[in-house]
Amino acid sequence: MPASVTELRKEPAVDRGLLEACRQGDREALRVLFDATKDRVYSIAFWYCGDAASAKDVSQEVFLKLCARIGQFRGDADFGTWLYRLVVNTCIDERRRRRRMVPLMKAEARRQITGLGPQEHLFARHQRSEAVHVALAQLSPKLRLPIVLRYLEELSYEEIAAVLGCGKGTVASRLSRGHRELARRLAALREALE
Amino acid sequence: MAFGHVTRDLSALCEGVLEERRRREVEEHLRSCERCRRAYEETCRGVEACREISQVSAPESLWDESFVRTHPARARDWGVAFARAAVLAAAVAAAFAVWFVGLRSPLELRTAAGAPSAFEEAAREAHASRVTGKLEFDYRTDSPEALRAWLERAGFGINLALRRPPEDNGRFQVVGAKIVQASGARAALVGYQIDSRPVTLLAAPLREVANPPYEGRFMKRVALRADAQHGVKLLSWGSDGQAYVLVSDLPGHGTEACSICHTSPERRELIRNARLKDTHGQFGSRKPGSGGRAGR
Repeated sequence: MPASVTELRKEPAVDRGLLEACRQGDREALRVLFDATKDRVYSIAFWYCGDAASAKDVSQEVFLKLCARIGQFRGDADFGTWLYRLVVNTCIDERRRRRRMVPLMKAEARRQITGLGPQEHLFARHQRSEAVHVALAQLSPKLRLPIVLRYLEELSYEEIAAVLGCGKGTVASRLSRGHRELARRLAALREALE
Repeated sequence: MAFGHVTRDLSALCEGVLEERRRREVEEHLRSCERCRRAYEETCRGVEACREISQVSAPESLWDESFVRTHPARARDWGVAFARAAVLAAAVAAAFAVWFVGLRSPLELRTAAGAPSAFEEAAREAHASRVTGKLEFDYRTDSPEALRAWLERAGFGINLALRRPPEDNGRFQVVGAKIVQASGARAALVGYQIDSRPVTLLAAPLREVANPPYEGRFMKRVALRADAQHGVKLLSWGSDGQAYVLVSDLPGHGTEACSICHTSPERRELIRNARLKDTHGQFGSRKPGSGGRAGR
């Protein structure tokens, strides 16, 4: 039985009444829901996509879909799982869309995502978290998503499995591979600067 | 133990979330496998790096930009609103059509079947009492406005026309009204004259009348009972929740008595030209218990 994500239900502003009002098309209620979830949505998109512009695009797309589909959301389902799936799927769609871009844009996007700027200045200009940001962006999406959900949203392995629609063992495996890959990428970045 | 058997659990081990029994197995393996130990150290460095991942604030402009992008959804809302308006307009048009057809279609007039109902008998007897001078009205007036107001105060919304057409001058005159008990119902007895001939109207709530007249849905269905014994004609029908019986000795089918309420030339022509269906049949059968009027 898949686990449910309870994090968002702990958010005091997101309760059954608010979700029902959103389903009825109450724009004020949508605004409250937006305020309660915008940072979470944007953060996942930011850490997954690797740049602010893409994160903004994804966030806009998520809230567009949320407005359009909130009527389909069943009250007895877990809103957290539903929203995380929406965000994850939108992130994946955004990545596919960017891969289809014309070469000039693709090169620009890659430069933004992978941070392929002058690496000599990277650690000088950025702090450690930004190095992690760059290294994370270099991981494959399959390894990146579980890490983002685990450390940003503090979801359990079961909850990540529920959002991604895979088994708990798969999540454990991808996290372990992701961690090792991340450590290697960070080491490579350090070596490049030394 | 093979290498691949523990790498899957290295992150969970670093994070301290590995289940106890599995943790002991993995730690046992790490003591004997240098390759896994190196992988474990590398994993822990990755786990440590991930502590840097933290929430970032969404830009302030996100709502406005998302709102702008949700305008297509608003357009869909307009589409739904337009569709609803179209359905409403169609319903209004259909209702108008039904009303128009009901107005224009011939009045259904049939001869009544069977013995007179208690309500019809009450109307006929009241009319007879009135003709013989035995009936005293509770309220006497020759003013349609005053009579209608008195009836309304008594709880009867009878659509007695207030604006009389010129052709009624000298021909139509109200006389008075009385509240009576008829066929178990509280009823209003209205007296008036057409060409100096007495006409009596008995009205009561349909639901209170035992064995009430038929109430047509889209057109008025009137039953005519020609009472040769007493020399009168009875017209009975149900409409807008009320039961009516008109008693008179007016010529023809006595439908001119209807002019107490109907004053438009079109409606009067319709009533005048109503053809009698001499079927001696009922207008329709009611299901027992339906509307609380059946079988009474």
